[in-house]
Amino acid sequence: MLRVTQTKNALLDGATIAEDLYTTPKDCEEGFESLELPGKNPKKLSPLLRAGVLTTVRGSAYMEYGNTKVMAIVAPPHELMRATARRMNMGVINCFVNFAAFATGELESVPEREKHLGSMLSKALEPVVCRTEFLNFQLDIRVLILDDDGCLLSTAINCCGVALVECGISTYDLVTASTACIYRDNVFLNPTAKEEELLRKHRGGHALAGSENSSSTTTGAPQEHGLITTASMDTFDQLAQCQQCGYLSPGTYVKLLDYTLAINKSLRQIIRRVLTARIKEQHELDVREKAESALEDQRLAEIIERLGRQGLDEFIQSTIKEDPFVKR
Amino acid sequence: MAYVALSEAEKTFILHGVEEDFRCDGRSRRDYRPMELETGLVSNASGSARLRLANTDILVGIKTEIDVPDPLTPEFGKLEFFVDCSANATPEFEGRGGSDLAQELVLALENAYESPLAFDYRTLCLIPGQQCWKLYIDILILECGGNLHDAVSLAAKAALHNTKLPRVTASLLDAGVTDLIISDNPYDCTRLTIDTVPLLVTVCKIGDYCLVDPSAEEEACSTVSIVVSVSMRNGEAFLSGSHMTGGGAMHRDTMRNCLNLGLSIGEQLNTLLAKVLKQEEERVGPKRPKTVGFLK
Amino acid sequence: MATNATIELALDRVDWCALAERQDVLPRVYTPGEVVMPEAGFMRGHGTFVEDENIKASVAGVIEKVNKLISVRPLKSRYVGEIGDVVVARVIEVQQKRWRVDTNSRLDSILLLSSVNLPGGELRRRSAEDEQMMRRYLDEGDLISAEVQNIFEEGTLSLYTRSLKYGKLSQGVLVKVFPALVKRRKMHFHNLPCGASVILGNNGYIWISPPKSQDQEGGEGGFAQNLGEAVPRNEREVIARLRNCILALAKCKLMLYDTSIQYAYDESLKYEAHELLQQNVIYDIGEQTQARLRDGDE
Repeated sequence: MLRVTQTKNALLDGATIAEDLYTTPKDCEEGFESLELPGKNPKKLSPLLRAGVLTTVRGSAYMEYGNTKVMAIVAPPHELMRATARRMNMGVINCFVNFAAFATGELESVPEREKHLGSMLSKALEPVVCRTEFLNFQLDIRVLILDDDGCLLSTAINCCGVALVECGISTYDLVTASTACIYRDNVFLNPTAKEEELLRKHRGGHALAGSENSSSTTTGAPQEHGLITTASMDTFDQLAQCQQCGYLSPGTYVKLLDYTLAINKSLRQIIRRVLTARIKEQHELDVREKAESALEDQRLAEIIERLGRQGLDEFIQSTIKEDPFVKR
Repeated sequence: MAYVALSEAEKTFILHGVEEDFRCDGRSRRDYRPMELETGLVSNASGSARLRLANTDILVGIKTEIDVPDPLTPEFGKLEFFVDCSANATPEFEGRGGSDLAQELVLALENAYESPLAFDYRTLCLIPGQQCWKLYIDILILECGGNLHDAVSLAAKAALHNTKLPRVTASLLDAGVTDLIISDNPYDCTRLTIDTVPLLVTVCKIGDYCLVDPSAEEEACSTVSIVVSVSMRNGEAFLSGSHMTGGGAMHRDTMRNCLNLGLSIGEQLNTLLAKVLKQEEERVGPKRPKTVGFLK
Repeated sequence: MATNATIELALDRVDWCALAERQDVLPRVYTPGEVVMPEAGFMRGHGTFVEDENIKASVAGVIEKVNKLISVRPLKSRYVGEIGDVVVARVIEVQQKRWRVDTNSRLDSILLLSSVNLPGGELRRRSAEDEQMMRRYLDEGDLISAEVQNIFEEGTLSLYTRSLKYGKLSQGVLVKVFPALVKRRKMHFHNLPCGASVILGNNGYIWISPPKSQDQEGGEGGFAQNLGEAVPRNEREVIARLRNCILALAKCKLMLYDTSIQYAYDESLKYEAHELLQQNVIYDIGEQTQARLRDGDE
């Protein structure tokens, strides 16, 4: 543990500060140094994705991104619960995000994050779903976070996109999402929880520490830090959602935005592959089922033909199998 | 948002007006409706402001409390936002109707104020790691006439400017225990610097054009809008948070245009607000004789 | 990219009462509970009650006397319909053989399928197809102008549009004011000389639209809308100015009728249309219009 050195504060008149055990900006710094800085070539992303993990619900999907594990469940639209929520010509989308009890180490902020993620998720999915098709209906989307290791929102959006297709809900396009963050001039694409924590919990404590040297005049350029989550629909180059937090100059914002859009494009390929594989699988099942039912039909036709040829009594006689026990 | 019924023909009229850069009330796409501001009208709060933007009426009160700082940020004070969409704004807010909107506003404000560069949390610190100020920013929506995000953020910033924290002196007792003495002289107080405090600007997309300060009718016509939080630092505009809302999608280039519009408007609003606050202070003086409030 | 944004201080707020004080004759205003007059020989109407053989006001407002009927009319009230009133209304719901419309009155009003002009001839039987096509004629959210045909016992208004001047409204702006501010006159449809047509609904809904050309009038059968054409800029400017003028007059609590609107419009020409949203400008226009109206009376 580190010790706080005396800090001057305008609100305090002549007080000395007791030494206390606390995390400091230095902690933050150490945390930063322990991170693997992104290289020139960003790491190859390899999300694992599966559609239709649960058998009892219509649409479900599971996605693993690094250590983040997310499951999305989409139920077919049902009638609106609250009549007041009704919108002219549009269906309503409700998203519920839940953390599994073991998903994250820090439980205190969970309800708040659940709310925030839920509201952002519905905002991201609203433009994707053809909401005009289920007027007066609501579509409930549930997301379960099994393990939290950063990029929760973007992974949840990806996962929901697949679950929507799996459920057979009409959508305008495939939706893909990714996250980029910047901290101390280092761009992290799809950051891990540790990287996000630096931004969120320490709230860029370092950013201030850096500017402290030139404190009173604050002439030094402020340390930018921030995180962008972008959801896009690439067929028409549309952004479904773009959420940012932190402190960014417009130039950096656009730079990060373009990074995420590039990742979204490559993610789209992966999602397409998964979906086509899933549909092929389904198709093969259908074909096999059809073949089996054709076989069954054939057998029945044979029996009927025999019945017609032999007459009823003879047919019964010939089809009764002798009971091996009675025989003895 | 509060729901407004519009016929197709009215929507078309609004849409064409936006294309012409001449809106239904004669404004251009970059114009705001006139606003009215008063600070310090709630005597029981440490800081307060009321902002009226056409029909949108916002009252903000700030209460203070001494709290223990978060272990992860020992040098930072705390802010907490609360938005109350009272049912007298629109009948729709009755019961739990306003809670979704209130939550959205709270999230947008929290996101905008999150960065220590946007709001200097160190000024709220009393003894690092031990004591800090916690500000409760309570926002009351009295009337709802569109463009809530902008109005709420302007009112919140004005209220922060108006906030007076009593001066605190600390005396060190033995064993590292400190004793806080809070001055009870109402004029012996510190103020917050609000130079970098962000403002939210809603840029609304109607047709192929972007506009600011949509009225409730215009909000009903728009497919998507982006809420940009603009914080000024060293004369430059920075983004301290943004998100899209409204259920539509937009192209990347449109998004950039919206962003630029939002930033430039945010910058101008910031200077305007600073000017007005200074002007009010000069005219009112340190001892406030009486407030206008809701009278006249 | 300059923006026109203004923040005024509440200290500078315009004192609207000053406008009323200059009026020479102020009507007597009664407050609830105040004795209006002894009951003997009079009948009590709306806004009054009888106690101790006196007629007392139950609302704050001015007295209205029709023969022996005494009623007190409040400034702010929802619209109370009268047969023959011209109203502007918005469709809320499409129901079996009728539309439910909002007329700013206490209860929603009714527009029966049989009281509208259907396209293709005035005298036509309503067929089953027409019932299915109702949403095609008037959908939820659409605005209509209509006349009050009947008042049901509980106060629901029944409207009709069986005249070529009524029907579905096309492009334009709706302005809502207090119903009491709209002066009851013979004419409620006006083609103002400044270049816009205005429908002053008795229910406080005012519709401003581009001027109708003479040949077009009456020829649209009540349902045609020209959504494809954009309203040209000059007409749009007039409409925006009129809208702001009407709101300014309403803010100054001045009665709305063609002359007052035209005066306000004339006075407003020295300002830009968007400046008319500002308080001091509104006050100025109210003052000027009031002066001109008074001059006209004398």
